[in-house]
Amino acid sequence: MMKTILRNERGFMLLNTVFLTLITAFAATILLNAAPRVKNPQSVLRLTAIHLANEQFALMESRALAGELEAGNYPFAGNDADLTTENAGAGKPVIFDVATRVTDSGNLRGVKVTVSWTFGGDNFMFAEERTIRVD
Amino acid sequence: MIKIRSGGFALIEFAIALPLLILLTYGLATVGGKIFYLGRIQLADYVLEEEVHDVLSRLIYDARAAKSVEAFNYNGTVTFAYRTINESTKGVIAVKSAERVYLLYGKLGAENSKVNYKRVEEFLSSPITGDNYFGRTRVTQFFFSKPADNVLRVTLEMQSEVSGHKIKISTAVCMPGCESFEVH
Repeated sequence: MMKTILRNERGFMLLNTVFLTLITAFAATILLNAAPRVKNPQSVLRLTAIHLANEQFALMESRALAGELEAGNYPFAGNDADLTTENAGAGKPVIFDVATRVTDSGNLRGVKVTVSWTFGGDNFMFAEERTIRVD
Repeated sequence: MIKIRSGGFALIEFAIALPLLILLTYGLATVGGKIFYLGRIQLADYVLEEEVHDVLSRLIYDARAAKSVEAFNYNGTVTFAYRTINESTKGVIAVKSAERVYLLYGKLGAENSKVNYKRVEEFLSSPITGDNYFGRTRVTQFFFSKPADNVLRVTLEMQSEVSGHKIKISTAVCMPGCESFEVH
């Protein structure tokens, strides 16, 4: 009975198993590496937003030097062309919205600039705060 | 225990297995090649972002404390002069030796277009941009404007020679102690 079973049973050879393991390991390595390699434009959009916020801070500071920075909400004071960027690539322009809130505290002004944008159906935001002295 | 009829590969098995092996190898090689290509592009884009950011950050940092600023858009040059202490009089004056200059080297968009930085008597030996080992870059736009009396606005656009992607970023800096500011 045992002899009959062994005679008809072919099973895997050692070499088959080694090849299969190698191929599976190679495929798994590729897949594990593939995920972070996908082009993600968020870093460059965030970088653009940071410099856009800096532009707004510079103009708010200029207003403070002129004694014109009061508490309240301010629109973007820079060049309107800077609100649209093509840095995301693929010919897709991304539009930034810049909101500025100024709070009063004696001769100091708390300035909070919030830059928001939408990409791929998701909303993103970058916010930064600075204190500006008003003489 | 010894197999009486161990057969090995038959021709039909080989005929099926070989195309499958070729297809599998081709597929894996294509995917692997694409992934290495994407990795190279991603690294080049990262370098591009870093170079744009680095130039703008350094330029803003230097502009902030400037006493006088003179920018030339026709050749992409901006010069900052600072107050320094005169040891003999202990007075605060601006001297030529305290200048720092950012300028464009080469023609805009050309392979050798780089942003250089120097103190007034230094050689142009260390460009901030361009010769990165992980992805060469070139400058395609570099210009200045004056949105307010003491605000310098800078726009820098650069392109990676590896990926072909472009990044254009504008920013501005307020220079509270600036007494002389001109953009030509």
